[in-house]
Amino acid sequence: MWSVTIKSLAAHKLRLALTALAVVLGVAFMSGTFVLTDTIKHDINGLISQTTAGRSAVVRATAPYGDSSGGFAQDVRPLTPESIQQIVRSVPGVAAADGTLQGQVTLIHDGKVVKTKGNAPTIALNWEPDHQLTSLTLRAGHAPIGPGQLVIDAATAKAASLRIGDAVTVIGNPGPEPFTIVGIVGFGKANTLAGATLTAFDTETAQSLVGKPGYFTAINVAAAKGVSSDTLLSAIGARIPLGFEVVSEATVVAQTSAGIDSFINTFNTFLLFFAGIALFVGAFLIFNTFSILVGQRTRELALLRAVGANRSQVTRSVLGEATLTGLAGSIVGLLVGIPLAAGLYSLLSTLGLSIPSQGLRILPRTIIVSIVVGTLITVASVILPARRAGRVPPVAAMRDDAVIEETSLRRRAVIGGAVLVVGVLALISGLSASNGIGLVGLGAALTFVGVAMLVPFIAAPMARALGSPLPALQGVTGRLGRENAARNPRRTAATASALMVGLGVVGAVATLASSASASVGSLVDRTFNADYVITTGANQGLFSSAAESVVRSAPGVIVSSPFTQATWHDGKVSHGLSAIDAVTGPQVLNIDVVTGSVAALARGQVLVDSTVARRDHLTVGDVLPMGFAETGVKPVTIGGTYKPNQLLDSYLISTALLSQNVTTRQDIAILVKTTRASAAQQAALKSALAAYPQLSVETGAQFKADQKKQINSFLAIVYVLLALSIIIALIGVINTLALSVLERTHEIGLLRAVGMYRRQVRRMIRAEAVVVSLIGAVLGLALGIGLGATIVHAASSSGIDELAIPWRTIIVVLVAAAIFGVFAAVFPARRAAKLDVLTAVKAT
Amino acid sequence: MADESDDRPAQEGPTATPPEAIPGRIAAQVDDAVKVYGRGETSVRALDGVSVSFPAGRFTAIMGPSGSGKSTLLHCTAGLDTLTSGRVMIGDTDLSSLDDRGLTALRRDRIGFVFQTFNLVPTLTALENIVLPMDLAGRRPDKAWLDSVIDTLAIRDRLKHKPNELSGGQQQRVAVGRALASRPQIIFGDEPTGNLDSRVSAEVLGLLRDAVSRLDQTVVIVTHDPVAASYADRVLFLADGKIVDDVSGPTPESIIDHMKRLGS
Repeated sequence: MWSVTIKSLAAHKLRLALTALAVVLGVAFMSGTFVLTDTIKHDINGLISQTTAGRSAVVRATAPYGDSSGGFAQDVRPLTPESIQQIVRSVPGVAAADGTLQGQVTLIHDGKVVKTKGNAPTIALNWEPDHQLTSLTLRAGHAPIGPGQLVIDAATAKAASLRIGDAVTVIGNPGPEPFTIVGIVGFGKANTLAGATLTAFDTETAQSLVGKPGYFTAINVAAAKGVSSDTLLSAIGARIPLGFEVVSEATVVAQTSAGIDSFINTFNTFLLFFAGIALFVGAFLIFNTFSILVGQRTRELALLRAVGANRSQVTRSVLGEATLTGLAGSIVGLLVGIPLAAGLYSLLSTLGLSIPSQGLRILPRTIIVSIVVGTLITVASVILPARRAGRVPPVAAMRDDAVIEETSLRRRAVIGGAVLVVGVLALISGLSASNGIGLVGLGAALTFVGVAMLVPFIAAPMARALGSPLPALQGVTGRLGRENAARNPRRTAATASALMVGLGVVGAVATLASSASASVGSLVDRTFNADYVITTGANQGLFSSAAESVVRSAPGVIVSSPFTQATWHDGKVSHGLSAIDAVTGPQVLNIDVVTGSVAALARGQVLVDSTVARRDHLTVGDVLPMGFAETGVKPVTIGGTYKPNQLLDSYLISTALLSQNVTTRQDIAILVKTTRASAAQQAALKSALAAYPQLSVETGAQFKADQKKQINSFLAIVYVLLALSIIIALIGVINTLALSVLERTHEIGLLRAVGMYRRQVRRMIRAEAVVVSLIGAVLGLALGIGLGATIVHAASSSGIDELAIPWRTIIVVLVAAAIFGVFAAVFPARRAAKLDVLTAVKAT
Repeated sequence: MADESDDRPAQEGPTATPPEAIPGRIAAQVDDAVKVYGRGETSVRALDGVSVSFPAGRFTAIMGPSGSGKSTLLHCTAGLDTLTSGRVMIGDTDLSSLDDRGLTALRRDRIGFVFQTFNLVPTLTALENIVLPMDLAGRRPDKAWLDSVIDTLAIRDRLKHKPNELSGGQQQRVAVGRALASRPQIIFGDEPTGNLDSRVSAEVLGLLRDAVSRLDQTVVIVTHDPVAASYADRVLFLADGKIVDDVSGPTPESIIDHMKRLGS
C-alpha cells in the first residue's frame, strides 16, 4: 500500500503543499520561539559568567523570606554595613573584598531623559576599586572620584551622543543633582548589560543616590591565589555574624541565571501559546483538506477496495499520506523557524537588547518537539477522514453518484455537545482554581472543538442570514455565492471554524482589554479625589520621591499625597500593600471606611480590606505581625477596615510607616488637589516639576487615557502574534474554495455556457468566500466575547471587575473578515473564471 | 411563419440587436468551418470545411457517428468553441468578431441551451434556473411569455423545487424552459434526451417540436437517436468533419436508411 500512498501524494501536490504550508507556518513559529529564547538565555548567561570571572564569593545579608522573587529582580534582603566589609577583608585567604551597591536612577541630559530604545532601566552602581571584582571595564577617561562625577556605559554614550566632560543631571534619592561624565565603561567585553543604561559613581556618592550611607547591597570577594572556594567559604562563614551569608560565585551565577531563565521561560510560554493557536488552526485546515480529498477520491478508494484492499489498508494509506505531509511540513517548518529566530533576535538587538551573540542555539529538544508535534497534529487531524475513507464501499467504484456515508448528524450533535460541555466545565473550573491556567487553555480548546463540531448544524442558516443582503447587492451571482456557502454545511463549518479559532482569541483578548480599560477607568473615577496625577507616564523613567516636596510647595496646590505599593510577608506568603500620606492621602483618595477610621493611619496603624478582614477574622484593635524584608517583623495594630478597592490592595498603611521599613521608598504617583483645576494650573505644576522631565502631570481623564494606551499597545502585540493563525485560516479558505471550484467544474461551465461573464463568476466565488469568512468572524467573536466575559467574571477579584464589550473591535473584525474573504477568493475565483466552458460542458 | 417579433421586448446589453424574423430568414449560418484539434501529426480535423445555414423557425437535427464532428459543429455554432478557420454568424453577428465577453453575452441573450446532463444549477430552484440568463443580464423576464413557457412545459407546480427534488424528465423540462425563457434566436441541444428513457424522451422532444411549431423558435440538436432526429424538420448527417447528407421531413425509418447507407 505504500506505493499507492506515494503515488497519491504525487498526484495531489498542490493541495498537499497548501496543507503542508499550514504545518510549516505553525511549526516554524514553534521552533523559532524555542531557538530565539534558547539563544537569548544562553547569551545572557554567557555574559553573566564571563563578566564576573574575577569574583570568588559574595557576602550578603540573608533573605528573610527566601528566594521567592524570580526574574531580574533581586531577592529583597537587608543591607550590609561597611563593618562586614572590614571583617571580610581581614579573613585569611581573601585577596580583595569590596562592597557593592546598586539601584536605579534617572539620567538627564539637556532637559531630556536619557533612555534606551528598549526602555530598559538605568542602573546606578558604585565604582569598585579592585578591578578584578567589578564587571565594569574602563574604556576611556577615569574612574569617578567624589561627588559630581560619573561614568556611563559605552552603548548609552554612543546612542545619546554623550562624551567625557558632558554635564548631566542624575535624579536619585536626594533629587536632581549635577554631574560630569568622567569616563566611559563597558560591561565586560560588551558595551552594556542587555540594553540597560549603566552609571557608576564612587561609593559615597552611590550610597547617597540609591542607598544608605555606610551600607552596601553585598560584598564581592576575590580569593587569594591557591585558596579553594570551599576553604574561602568556610573561613568567611566562620567570621561573619548571624544574619549574613557567604555564597560561592557559582551559586550567585546560578541564582541570577535561574531568575533570568524563569523570566525568559515566561516569554517562551507566551510565544508558544500563539504557536499553539497557529497549529490548532492548522489542524482544522488539514482536517478539511483531507476530508474533501477523500470525498473527491471516492471512486479511486473504492477501486482499491474492489481489487482487494481491506478497510484498514485504505485507512492506513490515507494516514500514511498525512504522516508524510506532516513530517515534510514539520522539517521545513523547523528549518524556516531558525532564520525566523535569527531575524527576531537581530530585531530585538536593534530595539536595544544588546547581548554579544554566541550564535543561534538549536537544541535537540527544539528539533524533536517541532517534528513530533507537527507530525502528530497532522496525523491526529486526519484520523477521522482516514476512517471515512476506509468505509468507502467497493461498489462505489462502479457508480457515478456514490458518496461516502457521513457520520450521522445525531452522533455528531451528541459528541460535539459533550465536548462543548466538558470544555466549558474545564474552563470554568480552571478559572476558579488558583493555578488553573492549563485547565483554562484545555477548556478553551475543547470549547472551540465542540462548537466547531456543532457549526454544521447552523452553517447553512447562518450563510443564508449573513448572505441575505447579497442578492440585493449583486443579483443572481450574490444569491449563487450565498447558496454555495450554504450547500455543504460541513465544509463551510470546518473552513469557518479555522477562522473562528483565531478570531475567537482576538474577541477574548479584546474583551479582556476593553474590560481592563473600563475597570481602570471606573476605579480611577471612584477612588481619585484629586485634580492631577503625577506619574512617570509612558516615559518609563524612575519616579523620584524627592519630587513630592516640590509638588507640595507648587502654586495652587492645596494638598498632595504620594502613593506607593510594596509587599509584606506573613512568614508563609507575601501580600501587596499600599501606602499613602496619613493626613493628606485620605483627602485625595476616597477610602470607603467600614469600621474604624482613616485617622488610624496617622497612628502608624494598618487598614485592612473588609473582605480580607472577614476571611482572616481580623477586627479593629487586633495586631497584625507584618514582616518586612529589610527590617523584620513589626506588630501593627489594625485601625480600621475599608471596602475592597483594587487600587489600594488589601492593606493600607502610611508612607511614614513604610519609610521606616525600606531603604528607598519607590513611589508610584503623587496625587494633587489644587484650588482650581485649569490648563494654567496644569502648566504651573509642569513648570514646577521642570527638573523632573520623567514625570508627567495628568488630569484623571488623561491618566485613564494613558492606561488605556498601555493596554492597547499590549493588545497590538497580541494581534501581531495572532496574525499567523489568521493567515493559516486564510490559506484554509483559499484551499477549500479551490477544491470546491474543482468539484463544481460542470456547474461553473454550465453557468458560463448560459451566459455568466467571467467577472460574474469571480463575483460569485467572492460572495461565497465573504459569507464563509463572516460565519467564522461572527462565531469567533461570539465565542471569544463569551470566553472573555467568563474570564472577566472569574477575575473580578483581581481588578477587572467591569465587563466592556469591544464594539469597535467587533465592527473592525467583521469588516476585516469581509475583506479577508475577498482576498481569499482571488486565486480560486481566477481559477474558476478561467475554466474552459467547453471542457466543463463536455466532460461527464 | 408568423412574425411575432413585434411584441418582443427590446433587448438590452451589448448584443441588443432585435432579430427580425422575416420569413425565410437565417438564424445561424456556418461558412467553410474548419476545426483542427492538436498540432502536427497528431492533429485531428474535426470539421473539414462545413458550410450550412439554419433557417429561423425550423427544427434541425445533426447526426453522425462518434468522431464525425457533430458536437464540434454544434459547439462552434453556439459560441462555446471557436473555429480554426471559417465563419459563424448568429443573425447578423459574426462570432469571430466577439471576445469572451461578447460571446458570453451572445449565449446569454440570443442562444438557448439544453445539455445532456448537468443542465441545472443545484442551488437554484426550478424557476430561478429558468430565469437565470435574464438574472445574469439583470433583466426582468417577459411575464406573459414566461407564463406561457411554464404552462407549455407543465412545470408550474415544481417551480419552487430544487433540481434534486425533480425527476430526470422534470429536470430536462426545466432546462428546456430556461432555453425558451429568454426567447433566444436559436436553441441548441447537445444530446438533450441522451439520459432519458424513451417515454420522457418523447415528452421533451415534443416540447422542442412545439417550441418550433407553436412558439416559432429555432432549434438545432445533436443526437444519435433516429427517433429523436425524426422530430426535426431536417436532419444533417456528418462524417469525418463533412456534411454528407441533408434530409428534409425525416421519419425514423428514413433516418435509419440514411445511417445504414453511411455505414454507421
